Amino acid sequence: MDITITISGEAGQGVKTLGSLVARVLFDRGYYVVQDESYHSRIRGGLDATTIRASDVPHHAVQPLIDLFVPLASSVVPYHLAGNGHESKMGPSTRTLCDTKSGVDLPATTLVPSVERAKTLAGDARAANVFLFGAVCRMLGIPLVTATAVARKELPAKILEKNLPVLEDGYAQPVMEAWSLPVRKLNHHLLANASQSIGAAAIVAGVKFYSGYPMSPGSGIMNYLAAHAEQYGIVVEQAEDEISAANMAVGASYAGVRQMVSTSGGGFALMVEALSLAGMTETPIVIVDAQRPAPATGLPTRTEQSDLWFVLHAGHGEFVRYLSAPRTAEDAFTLTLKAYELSSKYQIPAIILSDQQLADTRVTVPRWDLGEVHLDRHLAEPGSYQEPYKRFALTPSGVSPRLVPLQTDWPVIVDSDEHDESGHLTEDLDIRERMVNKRLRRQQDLRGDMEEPIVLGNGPTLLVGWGSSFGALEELVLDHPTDLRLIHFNEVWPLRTERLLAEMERARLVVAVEGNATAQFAQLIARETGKRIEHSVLRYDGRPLSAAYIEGKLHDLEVI
Amino acid sequence: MWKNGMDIAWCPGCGNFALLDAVDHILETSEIPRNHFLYVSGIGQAAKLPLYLKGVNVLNGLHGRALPVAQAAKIANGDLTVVVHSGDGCNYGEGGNHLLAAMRRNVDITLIVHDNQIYGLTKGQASPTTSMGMTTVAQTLGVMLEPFSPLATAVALDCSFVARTFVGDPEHMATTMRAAIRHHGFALVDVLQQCVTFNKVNTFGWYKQRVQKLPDDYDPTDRQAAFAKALEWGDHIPIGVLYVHERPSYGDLHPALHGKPALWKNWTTDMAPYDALLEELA
Repeated sequence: MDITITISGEAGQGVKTLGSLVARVLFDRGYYVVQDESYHSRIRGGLDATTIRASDVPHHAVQPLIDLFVPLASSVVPYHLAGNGHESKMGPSTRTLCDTKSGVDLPATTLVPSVERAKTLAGDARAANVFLFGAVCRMLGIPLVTATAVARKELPAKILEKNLPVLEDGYAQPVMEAWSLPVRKLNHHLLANASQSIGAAAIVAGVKFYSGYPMSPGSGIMNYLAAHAEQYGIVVEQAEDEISAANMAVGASYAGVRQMVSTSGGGFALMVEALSLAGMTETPIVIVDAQRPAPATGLPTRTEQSDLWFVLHAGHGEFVRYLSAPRTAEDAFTLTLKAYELSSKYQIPAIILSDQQLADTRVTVPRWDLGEVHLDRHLAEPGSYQEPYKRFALTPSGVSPRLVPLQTDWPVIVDSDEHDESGHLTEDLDIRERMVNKRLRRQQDLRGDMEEPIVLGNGPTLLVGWGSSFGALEELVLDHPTDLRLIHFNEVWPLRTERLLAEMERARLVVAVEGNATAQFAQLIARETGKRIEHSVLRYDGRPLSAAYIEGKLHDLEVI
Repeated sequence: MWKNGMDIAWCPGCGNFALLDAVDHILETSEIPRNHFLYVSGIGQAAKLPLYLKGVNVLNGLHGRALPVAQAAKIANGDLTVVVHSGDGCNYGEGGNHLLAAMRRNVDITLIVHDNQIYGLTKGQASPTTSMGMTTVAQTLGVMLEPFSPLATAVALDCSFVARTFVGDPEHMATTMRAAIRHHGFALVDVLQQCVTFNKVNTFGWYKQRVQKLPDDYDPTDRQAAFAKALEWGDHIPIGVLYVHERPSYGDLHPALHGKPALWKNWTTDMAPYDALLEELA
């Protein structure tokens, strides 16, 4: 069982509402769901599509061939015609469901009077999406009672009652029951995108202060935290710009609060001086860069993995940082908690490299076990530091006992200038050397806290990937386990290379697979190991890597 | 060497010495313990002042960026009394956007701007408050930009406390700064001071001849009058508290802060409250 449904319309037509209802009903039915979003950067018109894949085995990526197509406007059909490689596309077996008056002219199409019936029954044309939801459920062989339960959960209370008759009417349409999706048992699972899982993990980690400036696709985390601010006593501050947001992060953390900043590459660009400040003042901060295609404004609502080198090197001077790149929404929860742990433990900036694909893709994930979460702000305990207290006391590990103001009677003095152990500005060049060494030697222990990469498959061709490409690569390698082998990283700095070197040694061919144009991770590997990866599959059209896309490129390389 | 034994990086005759004396006097006579103060600064000669204070918390940050750091530190730890010291370049130039936002945000912190109408540490370029026509190493044809009026801007933005003082009147300076620190909300104090090395126009004597204390019957709650006063510059320069608008601060308005223990103390390792987050997604 593996079905793909694409709902596509113009911005403002309610694609999101219908998509959420369909994804939720499939999730509630016990299927593994992946729902991605593909949209233009505008409020009305253009393209706004969502693709929902439901299967009885877990997947972490959508696949591009549509089984059931629901266009809300005829204008979007060309985006999904065969030959257009960017959006999910129709094939010979695709069935279409759309409104009688939509003007859509496609084979195997079921026409239903969704707008007319919505107007008649609810007095509101917008209820047409609920009508279509009913018809979709009927086509999928999902009982009306299940559809109604989902509508009750998902629709706003004020429109629910007048929409329920519309749903029933849509369900009663003479559509072909083309599929049968029996109920499955899937307990202890959640349906979440990475904006939600990162936001939830931040709250669990004890975040009480968020500073940011709106920028797609980083704003999802801000919106999530804002929605939960009252319940958890969080201050969510929309700063005047990203420069302020990042400096606020340093101020809040210095004063003892766990904070969060989220942005995209362009916003991160404004934060780099403050990143360096966090490096110099040894202030733990956590920033999420939800990447999108760049340079400059790029493609605001699309995805890319092109900020790796930027984020790795952002900030003037040399300082230790931790970079993670979650594979999935599930992974993003765990890695967000780890970002807080490591940034506090080593008093360093931690940056989570998410992207639009992760931020906007809802996926079925196992429910996180909160019993496994152990929090520690790593503030100095009484007796663990020498008196008089010195914020930057030289230690073998390079980590100095950290107090925050008013934790004790000792004042806490930090300076962006080079400083002595007490935190006071110095121009003593011997102290300068000792402080540089102290700050940098924390990287040795940090590297030891990095997990080994995942390895899948047994084939002679080794695919090397990182971050959000995991879902596509996992699916491809599991389909070709004797041809392909995958090594995949979700912690990209400091880089662990032991397993990588061993796998590269035994591989016949090594191929870097990345969502950028210059194989940045392969370049990082070359720098760290001296081993150059000669082949690459790169995608930079703004759409996520999919198993089908990578497979096509590997055919070109003649490895499968 | 200053009285606390530190090697001070200011030029002999700098207006900052009188400012430092005034700050030290405020700390010495304050009912608030020294370790409850957090002094935040940007970068510049003025921004070095916190380094010469004893017993206080200090965060010496980036040029132009003291205000975001200071506001967030106050939000995070409301038990701190947060004071920013930095220059005209730092606050009116590099950090201009932060100044505008800070006035609107009204976090309960105090900003003391050491305004000598020139860049000192970078050696003599024009600042936003440098007079038109003044030639400098960078503005060799003379400054062509209209000077920035910090106080008029502050009154226009309804900043909750707006004042000006002068290093040549130590008592007025200490009184004004103390009032600003006591004020509940965002307070701006523009401190006129000489730069003996780089500003040969706006000298100590130049200011001394021009500053005039506001009359005793001056009403700082009259915004129209305050705006008119804020525009006065030239032969007469008013000093004193120009404008006060008592109103709830950011901390008063925010439910996570108002009447609550300091935000940083809101810390738990108990996971029970978070089940609800997962349940929402189930």
